[in-house]
Amino acid sequence: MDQHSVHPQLVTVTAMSDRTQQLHIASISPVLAQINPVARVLSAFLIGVPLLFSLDVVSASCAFIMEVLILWGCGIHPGKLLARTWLIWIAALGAGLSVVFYGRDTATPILIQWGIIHITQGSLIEACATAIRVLAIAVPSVILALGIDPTDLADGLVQILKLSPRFVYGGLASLRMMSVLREDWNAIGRSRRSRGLGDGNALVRVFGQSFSLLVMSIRRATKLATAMEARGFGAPTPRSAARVSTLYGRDIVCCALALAVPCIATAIAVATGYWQFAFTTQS
Amino acid sequence: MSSEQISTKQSSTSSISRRWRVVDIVVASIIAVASGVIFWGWDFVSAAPLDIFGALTPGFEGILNGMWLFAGPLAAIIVRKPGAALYAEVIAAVIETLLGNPWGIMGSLIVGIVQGLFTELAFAVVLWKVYNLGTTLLAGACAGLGCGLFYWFTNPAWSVMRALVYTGTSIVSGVILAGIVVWIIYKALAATGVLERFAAGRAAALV
Repeated sequence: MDQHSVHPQLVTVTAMSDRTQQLHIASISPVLAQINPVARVLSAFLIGVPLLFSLDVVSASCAFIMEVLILWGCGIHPGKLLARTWLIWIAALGAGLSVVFYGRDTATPILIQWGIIHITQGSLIEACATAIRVLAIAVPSVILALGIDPTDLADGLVQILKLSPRFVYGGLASLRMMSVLREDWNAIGRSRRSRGLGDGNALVRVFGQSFSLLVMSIRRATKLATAMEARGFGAPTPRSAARVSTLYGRDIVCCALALAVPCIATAIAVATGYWQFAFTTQS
Repeated sequence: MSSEQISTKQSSTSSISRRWRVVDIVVASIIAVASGVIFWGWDFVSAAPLDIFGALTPGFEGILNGMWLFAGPLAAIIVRKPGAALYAEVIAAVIETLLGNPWGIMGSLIVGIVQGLFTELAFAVVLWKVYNLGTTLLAGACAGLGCGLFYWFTNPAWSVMRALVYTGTSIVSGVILAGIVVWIIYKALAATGVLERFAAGRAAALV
C-alpha cells in the first residue's frame, strides 16, 4: 500500500502576495545608501589621494574633523563611527610609533638615542601627522565601502565606467558562487571524515581541505563558464542592461564634497603656515 | 562531427591565443574570489602582529605581506593571458573590501592595483610567453616590491633604512608565498586534472 496516498505530505507555501524581499541596506548611513557605488568608490579616492601629498598635523586634523562632521550629517553618530573603525585607530597608533622610532628626521634635536632607534622632535611631530592622516584617509574609505552591494557595483562599473561586461560580470558570477563554496566546504569536510581523513592536526586538516575546495571551485568555475557561454555570455553582440545604473545629482554632490575635504584642509594648512609637502623633510 | 572536434583540439593546442575565453575569465575570477576571502581573513589575523612588528622593529612586518600577494601569480600561471595577474589581484582586493575589511577602499583597493601592476610586469618582460618556476618567482618578487614601494610612498616619514628593510622583507615574503608556494599549488592542481581546459594543465600533462 502506498504510504503517501494515505498520509499525504503537506508542503506549506507562502502566498504569492506575501512574498516580499527584504530591502538591502547598502550603508549604515541612509544618505550614503542612496549614492551610486561607483561614486562612493570614487569619493574615497578623491578624499584619500590628495591627502597622501601633505604630511602635517593641521591638514590631517582639519580633514578628519570635517569628515566626522559630514558623516554625522549623513546620520552616523561619532560613537557609531568609532565602533565601526576601531581597528584603524590601533593601526594609526602603530603607524605613528613606527615613525617615532624609525623616522626620517635628523635635522631637529635628538631626544633619545638608543642603538638604531633615535627619537627626534621632528619625528614626534611627523608621527602625529602620520597617525592622524591614517585616520583621515582610512575612516571615510571604510565607511564608504561598508555595505556596497556587489551587483550594484558591477552594474555601475559596466554602465557608468564602461568597463568590459565580460570581465565585470564574470567576476560577479564567481562572487555569487561564494555561498555555494561554503556548502562545499562542509560537504568536503564530511566526506573526508567518512574516509578517515582530517582527525589529526587541525592545521593540516585546514590546508588539505582548502586545497580540495580550490580544486572543487575550479571545477565548478569551468562548468559555470560552459553554462554561461551556452546562454550567450561573451558573445560579440552588444549586451543590454536589466538594471539601470546612472549618476544623479546627489552622486555629483558626494564626489564634490569628497574632493572639497582635502582641498579645504590643505588650504587651511597653507594659510596658517603649517603645510608640509609629504616627500620633503622639514628644513 | 568527429573531424570538427579533432580540428578544434588541434588549433587549441598548437596556437596559444591572447584573447580571453569565458572560461579564462571565470576561473581567474574564482581564484581571485578565493584569494580575496583569504586576504580578508588575513586582514584581521595579521592586524595585531602587523602593528606590534611595525612599531617595534625597523620594517620586519613586511614579512607578513606575502599573504596578500599570491592571487596575481596564481591566476596568471593557470590562465596564462595578458592581464591575468592584474585582473585577479584587483578582483581579490575588491572582494576583500566588499566583505568589510578594516582598511576600506583606500587601504585595500589602491594597493591591490599597484601589486597587480607590478606582478603583471614580471609576465610582461617575457611577453606573456614564459610560464615557469622562474617567472613565478619573479612575479612574487615584483608583487612584494610593489607592495613595499607603495607603503614607502604612503609612509614618507620613514627613514630610508626602515623603508628598505620593509621593502626587502616584502620581497622575500612575496618570493616565498607568491612564488614558491604558488608554484607548488599550481603543480598540485595540474596533477588533479582540473586544469585540462588550460594550456597550463596540458603542459604539465606532457611532462
